[in-house]
Amino acid sequence: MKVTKELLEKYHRGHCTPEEKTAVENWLLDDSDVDDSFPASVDEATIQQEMWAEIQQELPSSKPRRLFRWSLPGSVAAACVVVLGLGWLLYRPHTPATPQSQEISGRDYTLAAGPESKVQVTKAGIINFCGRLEIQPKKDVQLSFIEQSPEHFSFQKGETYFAFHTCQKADHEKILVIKEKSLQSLPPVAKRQLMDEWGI
Amino acid sequence: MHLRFLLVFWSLLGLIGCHQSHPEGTYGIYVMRSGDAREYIVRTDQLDSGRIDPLKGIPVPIPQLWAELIERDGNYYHMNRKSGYLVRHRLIDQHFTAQDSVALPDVSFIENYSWPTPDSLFLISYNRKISKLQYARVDVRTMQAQTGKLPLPLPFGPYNSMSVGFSHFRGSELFVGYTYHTVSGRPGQYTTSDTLYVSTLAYPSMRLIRTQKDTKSTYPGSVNTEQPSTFADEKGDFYFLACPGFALGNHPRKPTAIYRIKAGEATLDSTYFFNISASAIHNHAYGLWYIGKGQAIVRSERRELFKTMEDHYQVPHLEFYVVDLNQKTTRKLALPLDKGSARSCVLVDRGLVYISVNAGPDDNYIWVYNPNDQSLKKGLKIEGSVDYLLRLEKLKDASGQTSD
Repeated sequence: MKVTKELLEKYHRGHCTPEEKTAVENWLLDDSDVDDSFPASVDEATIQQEMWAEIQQELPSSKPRRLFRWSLPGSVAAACVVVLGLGWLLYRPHTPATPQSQEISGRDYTLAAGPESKVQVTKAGIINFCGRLEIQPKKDVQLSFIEQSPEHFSFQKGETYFAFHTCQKADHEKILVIKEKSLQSLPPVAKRQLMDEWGI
Repeated sequence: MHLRFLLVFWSLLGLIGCHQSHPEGTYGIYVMRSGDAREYIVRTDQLDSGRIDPLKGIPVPIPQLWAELIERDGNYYHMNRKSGYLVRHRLIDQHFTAQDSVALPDVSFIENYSWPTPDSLFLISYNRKISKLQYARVDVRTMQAQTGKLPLPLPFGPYNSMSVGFSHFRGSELFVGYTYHTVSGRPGQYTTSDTLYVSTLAYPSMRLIRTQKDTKSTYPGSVNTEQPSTFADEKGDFYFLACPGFALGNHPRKPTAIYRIKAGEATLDSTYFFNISASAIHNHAYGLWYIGKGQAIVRSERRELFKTMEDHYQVPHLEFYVVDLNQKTTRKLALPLDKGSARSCVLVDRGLVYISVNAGPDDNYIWVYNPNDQSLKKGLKIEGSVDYLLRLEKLKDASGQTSD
């Protein structure tokens, strides 16, 4: 049985027949397929975002310390898909959707995504996020954000920063990076918009 | 021997002029500590001389409160947006203590406040999330309030936000100044309309009587919980600063200017436009304080000394000028460059003008300006790891009576 986009969606909804369910789970478990590309007619970026949204809601309550990286080698990527798929299988029907904040702890920094925000780090180290991100650098470091249109910022050890990037899709969307203690420096119109929209 | 040492020690302190925090002191100095940005209030009877360490004063338990406070008669009022209550605090036994409160439904950030009477606090709030422009009238003796819709046009067309920069009561009329914004693009980014609006309402009915528009400048007034920019003089003439500079209106091609509504007249005085940007000040300004006899103090920026909004807040670049409102002349006060985009830093008391200046580490003072002889001298020195002197207020007079 071929695993198609429609079959995957059916699996998400818990509407598969036993045969279909087995096919999907075998596909998830099959690490002989080193090509981690998705079945034909499936847009990877779309699925990435859709799975991301599902994962945001359905992971167990303990926060993962390191997030799934899309560009890992095939076998490792497949194993991660298995973990996430199984997590999805186990928790989706039973666990009520609760917003989870995410943390990524790296060698150079700690990232924490705020409520209704999300973050991931590419293999090249670019930080993709939307919403509100708290950044605590562990040393003086320069970081790059948003793969589609990278912006680069310098960070100082010991400071806490907020980064903001709207989750609505828009062309050439820019981000704001500001030291937490410098939020007070913003004009009232800007400060209040950030506090209102991102719950500071 | 031990007693002698103590006697000598305290005598030396007296000679040096080190002030202890006075629990019932006349003046309140509100500061931000370096590093962790914690806020403190210290009370003192003396602003003219000596030294004081505000970090030995009363810690403020709510972070970043300074910009949202209204102080009168030793009471600090704060609109808690999360709980929906206006809370009254006082300094009691070295603690910043909540004493009373009143629910103000749908009231969010305070745009502007004024005191129609000494016991009546009038608040204007624009709640952008739910598109509501509200007013609240609070009897601060009983902490009872009435709220209602302020009948001004909500943002329209390309605009999705607004700022209300002043409210001025005159008899049975209320004048309100405002403008509109478009918030979009990079988070925190906004543009401002090229027009300022002044509406006249009947008070207390809040019926809209008329609206004027003016395009010579924009962004009338300011968030006066942070820094004032309006006043009425002895004759009842009302003056307000239009603030299109980066730190407020963000429409820097327009000039910063002082407008006037004359006592007894129903509309903006069309003959009066004191263009601050075109004067010798030659920069945008954000703070305005009346010091009597037709003179005011303007706090202005130095454009060539900052590059970013963070610089604007952190780099000393702000200056103080005495302006003559009738002659439209300016005279710079010989003060060190000051830092902090918005501070409530000028206090007029008993004919003297006290100005807190945040020049940098070990250079934070209350300066004393005498308008009668134009003398300017250093007064009380502020010691300790203080980053900003945020507020300077008179909490009560020497007889214990409340201030005006």
